[in-house]
Formats: sequence, C-alpha cells, structure tokens
Amino acid sequence: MHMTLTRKQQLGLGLVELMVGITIGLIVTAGASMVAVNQINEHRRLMLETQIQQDLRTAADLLQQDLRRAGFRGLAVNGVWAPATGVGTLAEQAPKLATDNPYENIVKTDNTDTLSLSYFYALETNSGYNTSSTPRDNENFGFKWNKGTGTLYLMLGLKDGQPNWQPITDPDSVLIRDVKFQVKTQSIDLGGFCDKPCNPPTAGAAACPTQELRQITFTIVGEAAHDAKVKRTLTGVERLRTDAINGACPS
Amino acid sequence: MPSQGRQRGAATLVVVMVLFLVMALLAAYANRSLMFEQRVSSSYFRASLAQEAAEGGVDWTLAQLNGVAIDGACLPVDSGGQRFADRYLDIDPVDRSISPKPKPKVTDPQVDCARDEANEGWACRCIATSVARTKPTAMNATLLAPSFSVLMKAGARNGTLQLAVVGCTDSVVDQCADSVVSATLSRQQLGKSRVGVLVGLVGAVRNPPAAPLIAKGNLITSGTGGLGLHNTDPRSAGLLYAIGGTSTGLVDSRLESVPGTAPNQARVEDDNALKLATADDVFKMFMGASPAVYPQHPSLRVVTCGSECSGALDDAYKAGKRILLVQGPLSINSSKVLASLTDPVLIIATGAVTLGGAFQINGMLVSGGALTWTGGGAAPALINGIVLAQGNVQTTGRMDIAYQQTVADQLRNRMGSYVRVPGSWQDANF
Repeated sequence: MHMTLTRKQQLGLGLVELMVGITIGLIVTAGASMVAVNQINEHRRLMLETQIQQDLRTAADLLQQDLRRAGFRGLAVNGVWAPATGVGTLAEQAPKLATDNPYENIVKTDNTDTLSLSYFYALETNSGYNTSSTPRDNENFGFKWNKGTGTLYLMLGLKDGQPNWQPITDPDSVLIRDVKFQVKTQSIDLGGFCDKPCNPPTAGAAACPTQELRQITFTIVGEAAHDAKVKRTLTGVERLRTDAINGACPS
Repeated sequence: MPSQGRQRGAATLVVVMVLFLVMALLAAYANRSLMFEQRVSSSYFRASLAQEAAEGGVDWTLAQLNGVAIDGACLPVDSGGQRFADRYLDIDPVDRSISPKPKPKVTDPQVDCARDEANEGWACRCIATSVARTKPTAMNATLLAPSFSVLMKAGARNGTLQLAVVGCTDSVVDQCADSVVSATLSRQQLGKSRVGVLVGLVGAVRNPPAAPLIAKGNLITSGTGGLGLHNTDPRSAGLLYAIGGTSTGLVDSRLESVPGTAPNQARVEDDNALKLATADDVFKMFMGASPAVYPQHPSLRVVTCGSECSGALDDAYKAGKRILLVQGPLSINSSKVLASLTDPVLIIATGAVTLGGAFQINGMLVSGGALTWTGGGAAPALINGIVLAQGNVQTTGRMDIAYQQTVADQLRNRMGSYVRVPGSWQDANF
C-alpha cells in the first residue's frame, strides 16, 4: 500500500517545482559569482602587492648584502702592524707597517635626476687580491635610483671608466617612487694612541686620527605600475662592517 | 522503493554543493600565493637568524679571546681554568706569530655553541685540542635553537688570526657544515650564514722599557741592603734605570749590569724625555695609549681592593685576568708570589703605590704616582720584570728588581687584546 502511494506522487514534474528550483539556483549562482568576482579582483590585487613586495625585497636584499661587504679590502692583514722577525739572523725581516684601506670610502650623491650610493669591495682573482692603493675597475659597486623612470640600478664595476649600471627593478611592473639613504656616522677619537699630541687644545697640532662607525638606513617606496593605489614601503638598516680610519698620527 | 518520495529537490542540492566546491577551490587557489609569501618570509626569518648567530659568534669569540679562564663548557671559573687564548693559540712572544694549536682534524672547528632555551644563553663546547671533535647533541627547545661554530686559522701576518664562523638555525651546527650541499639545506629548511673576520692582537705594552726601573721623578734609596737592580740582557745594553730626576743613596755593589758595561753607561739620570713630559705622556710613551684611553683594552680588568691588594690581585690572576687595573692607590704588603715568568701579569695603579713584605711579582708594575717601597725582613722582595713610576721612587731597606727580556717580550707580543681588523669582514673566500 505504501508503494502505490509513492508512485502516485511521483507522476510528472510540476512547472512550479521547476520554477522554484531554477529561482533558488539562480540566487545561489548570483551570490557565488559575486563572491568569485570579488575573489578574482582580490587575487589580482594580491598578486600585484606580492609582486612589488618581492621586487622591493630583492632590491633591498641586493643592497643589504652589498653594503655588508662595502669596505672589504681583501688583504686586511695589510692594516696590521707586525714586529720584525728573525732579529739577529740572516732571515731578519723589518717590521711590517700598516697601510690605509683604499676601499673604505662610501659616497652618497643626490642631484635632480638621480640618488646614488657608491662604495668598493675587493674581489679575489686568479692572481689574488689587489695589492695597489686604488681599487680595480671591477671592484666599484653602487646603488642608484633614477628619479624620472622610477628604476633602481646596481653598479657592477666600471666599464671603460664608466659605471656599469644594471637595472634591478622592472618599470613595467613596479615604479620606485622614493628612495632615501641616511648615512649616520659616529666618530671615535684615536688621539689617545698617538705618540705626539694632536688636536686642540695643543696649539697648532695636527688633527687626530678618527675611527668612523657608519650605519646606513634605507627606505624604498614602490608602486605597482598598473595600479597607483598599490604602494609598499620597505625600510632596512645596515651597519657597515668596515669602519673607516681617517687621518694619521702626527709624525 | 520506499525512499523515492523523499528524493524530490535533489537537483538543487547537488547544484549548490558543486558551486560551493568551486568557490572553495577558487579561494584556495587565491591563497596559494599567500602561502608562498609565508614561506618566503619564514626563509627570510631563518636567514636573518643564521646571520645573527654567525655575527654573534664572532663577537662571542672576541669576548672569549679577551676573557678570563674557562672550563670545557667555555664558562668562567675562579681557579683551575685555562684562558681561551692559551687553550687554542700558540703565540711566539719573540715575533708575535699566532698559530692555532694543532688538533686531530684541521678543518674541525675548535668551538661550537647552541642556543640554550632553558638558561637563556649559549651552551658551548670549548673542545680540548687533544681530543677529536664529536658531533654535538641536539638541544631540547620549543623554538628554533640557532647555533654557531668557530674555526680559528693562522693569519697571513704575525699578530693576526682568521676566524671562520658558521651560523646555523639548527641546534646541531654540523647540519650546516660546508660539506652539506645547499639543496639539502633548503630541503631541511635550514638557514646558514658564514662570516670571516680577521682579528689582530694589540699588545698590552707597546714599547716595554728596556730597563728594570723607569721613573719620572727622583730615585731615593736608604736603609740597609739597598735597592738591587739587575739587567744582564745584552739586547737592552744592560740599562739599569732611567729617571727624570736624580738618584741618591744607591749602593753600587747591588747594581748588576752586562759584564763590561761601565756603571755610568748603565744609568740614565736627568733624562729630558722623562723630565719634560707630563706624567700622562710618560705612561703613553711605554704603554702605547694615554691613561684615559688605556682602560679601553678589552682584556683589561679592574680590581677593587682595600688597604692590602695582593690577595685580590692573586685571585684575579688565578681567574685568568692578566691586565689588572687598580683605581687609586695600590698597597701590597705580603709574601705572595704573583704570576710566573712564562705567564706574567701587568698591574697598573692609577694612584701611588706602596709596597712592603717579601712578595714576588713576575711582570710589570705601573704606578700612577710615587712608589714607596719598604724592604721586608729576612727574604727580600723581588719584582721579576719592570717597574714604571710616574712620580718619585723611594725605597728603604733591601729589595730587587730583575729585568727579564722574556717578560718584556710577553707584555709586548703575547699579552694584550684581540680586536677586529677593519676591512676584514667577508662572507666568502676564507
């Protein structure tokens, strides 16, 4: 009896039934498509954000790693005095004197078109490290922001005496809107180690040598080329591992 | 089929479910890049952690090289320990050449440390050079426990030492050894950083005096026995004393110079360099830095003591301190033996020095002012080394100062502080 009852109810598909089904289906589809459109938009923005984030991070990474190396002189032992060896024997060698570090300087230039930072570090070649008092061409490094095009460049040595700038950001995807370099220098007076007096109040005395501790704070602001609303700022601090020694004791 | 009646409207359910599934897939797809970002930032975190561990390792090693006596866990001990530099380095006091002590395997690091979460510090192993290094055990930690290892190598010039430090985000630093290829490191999600730094030795005394006694003022001796000055070292021409003033009451028979040296040649009185210079300049002349700057020597330790100082000085020496600074006047009145000829001590007092008793000091004594010395009873007091006084020297009774070339060499070329050489930091090729 139960069976016959069910069969009776299943006969045909009612128009009302179909309409209700389609209506609910449409409502759900409309909601779903709205969510999907939102998602796709969100996704696009996220991709842009990720892209500039990654582009900025790569640039900052390159800068940070390079700044750490800035000032590396290769033959660092040349900065250390060593006493005479084998005194009184045929193999006697005179004391080895300390020499200045030709790589220690770091220069910031800011003009209307560009902002740049240039520095040096030594590279080892087949013939070893540079022994002269000037860095080799391929030991020039730097970082540049072209304000007009919004592009960052890294200097990889000199080519025919001119800096070899290589772009590290793509203006088609990210525009660099602002770059700041803040070089903070702390100076330590080394006059206490000189045999002869230096610095005032000693009248007419030469300037004392100083040790310069340098720290660089950099800020890079990037903007998505396709959407000016997507903007990211990246800030980093790097203490230069090489302290500069300026001046010398009066002789 | 009894259930057929309840199946009506199933199409809607299926459609809705399929739509939900598609939406979930879309959401997951969008978050894929977020997950990638998360991975990137966790890699950055590990890289920074390894970098900091390596930099920390360099500073830790410098602190140890300038530090006190330690045990096998690199922790300071009051007595019975060995200084880090003595443990790992052979330094020739004659020409300042520094070479690491030979160990079973040349490429093995001498030291490794891992972050000890429970004690909030580094847990280190200062491995004895006589035994082969074994792999450290992993630390028990809830967070990442970074570690570092230090390999000390001889520098290319005398007085330098090359440090090669590896920082690792795993508590077993061997996981980041140079033999492990980078693909393995990234598969195991390990951060690794290598740092090389050259350190140089700054001698405790830049120009040690070539005479047993240097004084800016006068030298006044009185009493029985007299002051004995001995210098039989031909390299210093047997000089016995150099003073800025005059001497009175010296007993000639107690002065011992290189045979064949005329007494007048072995004494310098009324020396302009000492007389005209300020007390600070006299200090600087020999010590290499002004009295204001000298306490910045990283291995210098300040000793505080009351009326009698030999006990505090002896304790400091036993704890591995070799450059001792006493602020203000210093008084010694005992029969203690301080330091040894092969491992001398440098004692600097910023004030006047008063000595008494049958003590013995092996090393150098610097007085910031006058030096007053009263000879003890039967056994005379002895300073094996050098005395530098920035004022007058007054002695009563019998005592001896014997100049030792070995002490002068040690003060100049073996004792001192280790500092970073500017321009030596590198992350490759060492």
